Amino acid sequence: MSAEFELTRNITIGQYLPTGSIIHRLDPRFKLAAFVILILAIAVCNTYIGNIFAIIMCVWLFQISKIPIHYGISGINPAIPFIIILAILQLLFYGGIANGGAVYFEYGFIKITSESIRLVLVSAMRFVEVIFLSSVLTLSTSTTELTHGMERLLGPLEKIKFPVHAFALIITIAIRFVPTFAMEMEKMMKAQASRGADFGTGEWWRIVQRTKDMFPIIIPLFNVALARAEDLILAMEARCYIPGAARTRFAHYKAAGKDYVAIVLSVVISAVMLGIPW
Amino acid sequence: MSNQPIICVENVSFAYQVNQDQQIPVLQNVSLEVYPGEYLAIIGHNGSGKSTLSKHLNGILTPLEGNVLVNGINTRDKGRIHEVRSRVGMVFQHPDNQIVATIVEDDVAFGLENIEVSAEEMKDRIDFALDAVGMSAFRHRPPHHLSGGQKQRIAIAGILAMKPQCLVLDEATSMLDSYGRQDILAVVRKLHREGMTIVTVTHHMSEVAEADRVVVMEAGKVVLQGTPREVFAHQEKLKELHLDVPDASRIAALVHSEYPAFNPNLIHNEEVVAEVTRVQIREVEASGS
Repeated sequence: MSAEFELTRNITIGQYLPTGSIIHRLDPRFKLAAFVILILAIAVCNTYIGNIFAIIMCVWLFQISKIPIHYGISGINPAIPFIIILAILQLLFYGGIANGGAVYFEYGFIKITSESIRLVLVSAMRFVEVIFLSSVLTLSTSTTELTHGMERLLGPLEKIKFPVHAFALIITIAIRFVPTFAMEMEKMMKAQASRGADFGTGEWWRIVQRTKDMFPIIIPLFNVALARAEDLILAMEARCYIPGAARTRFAHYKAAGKDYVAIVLSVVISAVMLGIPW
Repeated sequence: MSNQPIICVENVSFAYQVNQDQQIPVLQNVSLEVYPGEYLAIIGHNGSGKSTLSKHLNGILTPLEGNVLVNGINTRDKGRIHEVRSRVGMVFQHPDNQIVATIVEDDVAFGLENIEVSAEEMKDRIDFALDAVGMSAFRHRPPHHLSGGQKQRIAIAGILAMKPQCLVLDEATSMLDSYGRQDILAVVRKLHREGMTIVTVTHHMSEVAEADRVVVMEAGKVVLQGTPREVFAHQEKLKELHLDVPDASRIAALVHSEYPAFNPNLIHNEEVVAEVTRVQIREVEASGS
């Protein structure tokens, strides 16, 4: 029972796992760029061999980043219900929409073709690839590096007046306050429980009831968040922050040979994935 | 105190706007000067306007009437607000609500990035600031693993890195436990010794006793000011304002009322001990002769 209130103990934002591998030491800007390239390739690639190749590549990435593969696999577990629901929907309805491919089974509007089976298998593999890839990224890059990298990569958008810095700052502050709010929530749950409130004891399928149980936590939490935000604004203003004003940057990254190699490799891997015809 | 004041508060009045035709007056015609190198304490009970006054010192609030000048720059001058705020730094009450970054050194860098310090100089300034508050060993840590007192030291470092002339502490120790408070006071004491001007808003009387000058606020006005010794001599008046006096002062006054030879104007514990010794020796001498 008491474990339910210990929210701060198991927060894993930025599940950074420092192993000091070459993947960890990549310049975050280049690492993010390579990640984006690979994600795009995965989104486009719809062949069996291409996706199997991608999964092998992901496993290889775990190897060279010296991260145990079970970190990636444990990331898949919570996604399994979604993968299954998606697979069922695709299996039942896709064959009816898309033409082509051999028809294996037909009953009323349900039509299972070789194309719909391909889609089901390929989407499941894509899920696994995306989860593996983002696990490697977040396990090998600290949140600070991630936000810095993102800020630099989006940098050119400043020319079209996209508030890149503000965007990065929002993310940083959001991450920064996760543990604070977890602690706050823990306090509130304990306070409400000590006055007889009941959390998480209802059966899981009574979603409405369980949501209602959370109101006495969520509403004060919002209240606290707003008060904190106001304080934070004052503190930021006192340190000369003016939204949209020019600023310099503390973190500096310098690209080395390995960073360019990473980009080239990700382009090559993408090309192979898309080039395989089956 | 020497020469020109750093901060001049001239006949400032301020009110919070509740709605279109209702205002709550908070400050009424307050004038105050802060001189370089001094340690000024502002005290008053809740709602006396002391925090509002402190927020005027670096232009977070601008007065409804009157002016606040920082090194001659009016805080109404939005174009020069950077200059004002980098000269008068401010540390707030809640240690958690003033840290913006996920890593200590990034947080210290935040103010420097805002005033466009170059990356090379930033590194030196961060080293200096973290060293000044004794937190160098924590520079790569995430702030949520730090204690309240450590977070508050980081907040001070974030201000120090901007090289201000004056540090305003707005009840900066009120959320801390006694260890955290001692830590912060030690840092502040050291900074003051090194020449930093300190303005502290507080209701811990032991902090007040260390100051060079005390300003007592009540209902938006300055009602009493002077050295801590002068201010704590007005015990009756302070009691009326629901303010405490340091234990040392209270004890000295009590002993004085029973035994007039005892000096009532004491503010530090050591002074009470010294006074007891002095009186004792005198007694012995008196009985001996």
